[in-house]
Amino acid sequence: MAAHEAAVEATRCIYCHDAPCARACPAGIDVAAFIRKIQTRNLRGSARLLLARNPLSASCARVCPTEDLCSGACVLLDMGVKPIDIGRLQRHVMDWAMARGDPEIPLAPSTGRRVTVVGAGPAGIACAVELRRRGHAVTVYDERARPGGLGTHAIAAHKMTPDFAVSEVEWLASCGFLLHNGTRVGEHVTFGELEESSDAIFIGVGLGVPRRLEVEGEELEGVVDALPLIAAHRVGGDLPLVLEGRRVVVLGGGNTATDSALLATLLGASRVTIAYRRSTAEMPAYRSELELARDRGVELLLLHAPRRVLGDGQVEGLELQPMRLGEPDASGRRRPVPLEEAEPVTLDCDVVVRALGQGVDNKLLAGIEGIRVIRGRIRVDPETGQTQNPRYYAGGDCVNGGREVVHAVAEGRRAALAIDRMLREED
Amino acid sequence: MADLKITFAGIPAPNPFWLASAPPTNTGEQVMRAFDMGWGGAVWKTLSDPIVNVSSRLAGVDHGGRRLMGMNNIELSTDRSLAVNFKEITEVKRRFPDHALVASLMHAADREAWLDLARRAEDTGCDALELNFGCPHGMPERGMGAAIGQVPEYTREITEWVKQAARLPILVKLTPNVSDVAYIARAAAEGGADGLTLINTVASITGVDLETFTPRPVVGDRSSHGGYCGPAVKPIALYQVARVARSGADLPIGGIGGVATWRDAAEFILLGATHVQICTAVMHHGFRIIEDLCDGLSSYLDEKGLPDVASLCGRALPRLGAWEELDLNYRVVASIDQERCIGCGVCYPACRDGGHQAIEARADPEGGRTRVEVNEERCVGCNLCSLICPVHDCITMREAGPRQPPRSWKQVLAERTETN
Repeated sequence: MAAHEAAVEATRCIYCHDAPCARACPAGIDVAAFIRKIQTRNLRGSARLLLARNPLSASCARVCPTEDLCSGACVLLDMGVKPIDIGRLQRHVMDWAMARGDPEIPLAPSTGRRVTVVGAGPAGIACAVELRRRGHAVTVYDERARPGGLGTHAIAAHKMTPDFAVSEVEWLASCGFLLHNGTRVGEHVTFGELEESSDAIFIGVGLGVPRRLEVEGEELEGVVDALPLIAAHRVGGDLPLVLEGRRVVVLGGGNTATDSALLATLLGASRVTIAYRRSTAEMPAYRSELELARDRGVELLLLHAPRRVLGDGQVEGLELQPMRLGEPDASGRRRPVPLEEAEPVTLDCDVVVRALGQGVDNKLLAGIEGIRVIRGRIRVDPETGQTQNPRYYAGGDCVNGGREVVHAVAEGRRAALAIDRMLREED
Repeated sequence: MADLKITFAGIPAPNPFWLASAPPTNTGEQVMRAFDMGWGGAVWKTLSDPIVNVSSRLAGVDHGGRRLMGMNNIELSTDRSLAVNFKEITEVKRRFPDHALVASLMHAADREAWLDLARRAEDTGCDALELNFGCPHGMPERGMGAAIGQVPEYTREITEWVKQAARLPILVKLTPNVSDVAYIARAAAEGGADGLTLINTVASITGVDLETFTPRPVVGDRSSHGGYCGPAVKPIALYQVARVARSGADLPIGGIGGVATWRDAAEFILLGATHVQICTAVMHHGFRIIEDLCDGLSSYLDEKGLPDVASLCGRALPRLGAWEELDLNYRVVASIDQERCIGCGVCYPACRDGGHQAIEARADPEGGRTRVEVNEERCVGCNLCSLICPVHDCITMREAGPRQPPRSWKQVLAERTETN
């Protein structure tokens, strides 16, 4: 977006009072205010305002499902007019700010307090930046060789490149947090050691263990997990298998399912089907992503649950049970129950992609007193992100079960504010 | 179709749309092309002792992503020789005898020079002479343009010089850069002018380059103030036209300043102009705008059941008066159409901070649209919310309560005098 184009798009914003776009932003960005600053060509102020609420504004400008969040709430839609392209405007500001160099994050005087952040994904980095802003010393550990978490390793390439996600973390690191990549907590350094060296610990480790189908034939060659597939494509490693010319069935209803289905179409799969055991209404995937997948020819098979993977050594098909919707479950969504009278259906395919969600790595947290993991997620106080162990806070996918980057950022920042409050009250 | 023919100060023209004295009338080729496309008249680029123009010359003011809300110009009068100009005027008039062709003249206060210029201009066969007493930039420093038009005595005297020597109608072009244009209009009338045209451009600086600290337009590393024109100046021009129409000068008026559409033209005519002159809109869009100017005005006259342009002239003037004559008992309040409201809430801070705190905003606890409502007790009927509301016809003003007998400030004062 050229400077002039951005300024003109910014002038379309009517600068709402109590703007719905801001209310729709999980990070609470004052959208109308940052856009007005583009209009006045105060890009420096605009970037400052964005970073104050969302340190990963550059990532979010690329990966946020804005049609379902800020732009989807734009009042211009009610006028029958194209909503403000908030994502592109934010990207315009952040590209300018990153090209300029220093993110100009103002730092409070040093408090002498030290916080450790485990996980250099969006939640951890957002937490680290906010803590630095408030004058605390921060050390971030990440087990992988490159920082950025799922921003680097899992987000579909059509949204953001891994190099970009890494460069954003490195850019933000100039505010002074220490980053130890390739350092696995529990192996290279223990939580006990971290507890001794820090006043608080933030856990932003994401999700580790992919959920399994728990059906016959799951061990056949051709059954793969979605995330390693996406990660391999992103960071340039070898794909676990060839998708070109293959018939692919993706199981799941979330954004990882739509991402991997899109990836399969990009890599030349001959036929891509997303099979989901509930209906579209219960799908956690964003509508815009689902529409994009459908536009690219991805087929949807709703109300079908996997029963059996068919094949002899190699996947040849998938047997699915037709389902119907029953009473709501704990998540508030209607529970799928087998449609008794219906015969199972068989879908011929060569590849089955599991995009069923993941759980947090229990082994990692096992030794920490008070941390409770329920259904694969760390339990925290929803106001503060504090775990049952008062020194430990958590946020991001390991708490919310896998949501957008912007949610992880909001939770990382929420914990940083609470940690800051706690440390100041102790002083 | 209504007849668009007009007569202004004895000069007939096929329609009231004339090109103002400016870059579009710089050469015979331009003017003839304009006449071919349907323009009714043209006032030639001002003739004076030839000058040298600078580069660059124009600066624009954009608004909301639209170009040229306003423009200013530091170009001076013609920079071609007078002989060439006179030859071309002669040729244009010979080929377009039925179109109004006016020579615009400018000189310092030198009687012989003015008379010489006027005589040579008359020899071209043009229809009238327009005395440029309005140019606000470059020329006043040489004792010309607004330097004359800002002083009633100079205006009267120089008009007199030319009028006494000339055969043709004399038009005086007035500057808006005065405290009250009525004084200048009356002085021109006393000097014998046959018609008045206004406004000339408004003295202006359109902006400053924040990187180089140089005002615009830039000539090397400097600038100079210019003359402002375009849509932004229309309200100023409308006021000044109406002011002159009621000044007692009793002369036909040519309305100039920000006319871009037939609607603008109709407004000038309603406030007392007989014809309008156009420049910036042509500099922006070209001569081709004449088609809709004529078509639109003609349709409008038909809709109003008026046979010609003259029947529209001055029709708004009886409805314009002094503030003290306004009805203090007339009261409107804002009314929000909740069906149309998109919940942007922009009326709320506007009324709270810049109005009379008469709009209440309530956030929807469910996270839906903000709801705004008018507190009619507090609403003074200022219009602000209806002016800023982005949705057409969402906030309208309606009369509040039964209408009381009219009562003006003039009456209030009269009653006070009586009771004293």
